[in-house]
Amino acid sequence: MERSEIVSQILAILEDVAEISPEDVTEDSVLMDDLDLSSMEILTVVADLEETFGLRIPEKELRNFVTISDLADYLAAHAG
Amino acid sequence: MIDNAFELVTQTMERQYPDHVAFRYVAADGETVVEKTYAQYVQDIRRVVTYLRGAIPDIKGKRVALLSKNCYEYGANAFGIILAGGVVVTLNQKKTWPELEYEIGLVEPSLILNDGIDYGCRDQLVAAYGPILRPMDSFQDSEPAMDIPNTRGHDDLMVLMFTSGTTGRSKAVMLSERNFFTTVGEQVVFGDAMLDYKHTHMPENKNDVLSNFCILPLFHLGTFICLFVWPCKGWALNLSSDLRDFYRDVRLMHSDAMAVAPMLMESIYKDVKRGRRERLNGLWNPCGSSAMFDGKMLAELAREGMMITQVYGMTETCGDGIINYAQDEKHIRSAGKPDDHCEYKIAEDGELCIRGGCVMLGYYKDPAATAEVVDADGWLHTGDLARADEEGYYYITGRKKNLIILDSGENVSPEELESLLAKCPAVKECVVKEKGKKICAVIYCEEAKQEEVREYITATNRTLPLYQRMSAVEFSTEPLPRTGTGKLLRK
Repeated sequence: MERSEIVSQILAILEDVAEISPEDVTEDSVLMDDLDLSSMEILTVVADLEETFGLRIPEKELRNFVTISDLADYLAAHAG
Repeated sequence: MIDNAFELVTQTMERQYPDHVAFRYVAADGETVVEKTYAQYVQDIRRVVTYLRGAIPDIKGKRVALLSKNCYEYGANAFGIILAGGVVVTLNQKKTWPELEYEIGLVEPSLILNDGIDYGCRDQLVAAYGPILRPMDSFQDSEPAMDIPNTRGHDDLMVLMFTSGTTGRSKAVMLSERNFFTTVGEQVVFGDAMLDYKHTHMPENKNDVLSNFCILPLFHLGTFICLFVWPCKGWALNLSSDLRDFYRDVRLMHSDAMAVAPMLMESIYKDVKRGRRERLNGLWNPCGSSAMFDGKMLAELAREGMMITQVYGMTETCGDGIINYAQDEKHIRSAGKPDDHCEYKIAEDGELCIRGGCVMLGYYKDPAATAEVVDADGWLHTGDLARADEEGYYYITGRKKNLIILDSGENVSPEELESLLAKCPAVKECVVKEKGKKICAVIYCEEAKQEEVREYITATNRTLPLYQRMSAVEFSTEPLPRTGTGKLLRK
């Protein structure tokens, strides 16, 4: 899948989970600070992404997700 | 009323409710719900006893650590260790290696039962403790032990649990059977209150065998105590091990109650407000841990037909303390009304103190720290500030160590003022502290909103006694500094 498609998927899920308009998000947006997501919201976003991309992200990778770009990089490398 | 672990397992679980479901969890396929009855559970507890007798000669008083996510085997191992005469140590598997290394080093376990998952420091764990690491299901091939004597003294050390350590290094709290069953007594009354609520508000629902969704970690007392409480009525625990799976698991396993952290309460609130309540699959009792939730949010949830309860407790009181059952807007945010199963007092400086069967044996290998919180008369000083209203409801108003003590001798809880400031929509973050003998509010908000905030503070001051008024205001156009764990810095 193209990286741009992955980013659009992330933005769509963010809009659904946290009601954040895609226009307010860039790849550099920091999940907790810029987007003001709670840790529960981040995990819900991750769970939705896992379902969409059909994968399970290992526990120890989770702490590396700081920005939208981190999420997109991981999915680009691991989603089939 | 049962007052010991031996009878809880061999009488209540094994004889009284053998066919009731003790646990549910979602299998690795992410779809199938596995159920374990109390009869199966007790057989596995008996297997653990056999396994431990073989693995640890002369186990009495020896420590066995559980280092695992929530799973069925957690419960079986915990009771197996207790019935075998050992001491359960619960560890937070997500801690960093220096923290874990310190905690394991302190308690010197004979075995560490572990889920095998790499949370970031598996290599160090294996290198340091490989010879005593065992899988959580090590007991599987053992025969159930049928000859288990009850040799545990009511005040013997039974469980070691680490405090969250918001100040300095974490400490291991020593808890006895008496501690646990004092709390169980209070919580069984809680179960009766749930049934009363259900009979009044949901008369069409005839199922009185309730289920509790456990997603907060079992290494934490608030969840661990459920292993003791829910079997008393033959009720079930629905286990979930990962917050990512919350909605999936709650959809697959209907649950009546659930202990919630603030972020979960907010998630539930959003679901209710956005018309997505079906995602919660009939959950009706979110139980908070008096973490000072927003009263309006709680009252709204109560109006939407949820029973809102809050338990005030700490590891040092084995989770015991006060439970709030009030559903009315005036009292819903309170910590509840103390009953007489323990003694309570609010000291002169406002600190809440508790005395009774729930008070810990002490901090492990740290009598000096114990003496700082448990006084000669047996009162545990909680470190929390409380006030009681005219109807006897207690309110937790802040932490003693954050207290601002003015020249006049009067004490001001910054948290109480911060909660007032947080109600102003323009305030993004705030900290109240003492500055130059004045109470100073430090506010993070947009520059254009500063005047609005100033007016809000003036209006708020009018409602406060003179000594509590915020006479200095500082503005920041950037987020306020936080500690490594994300709490606002007060200095």
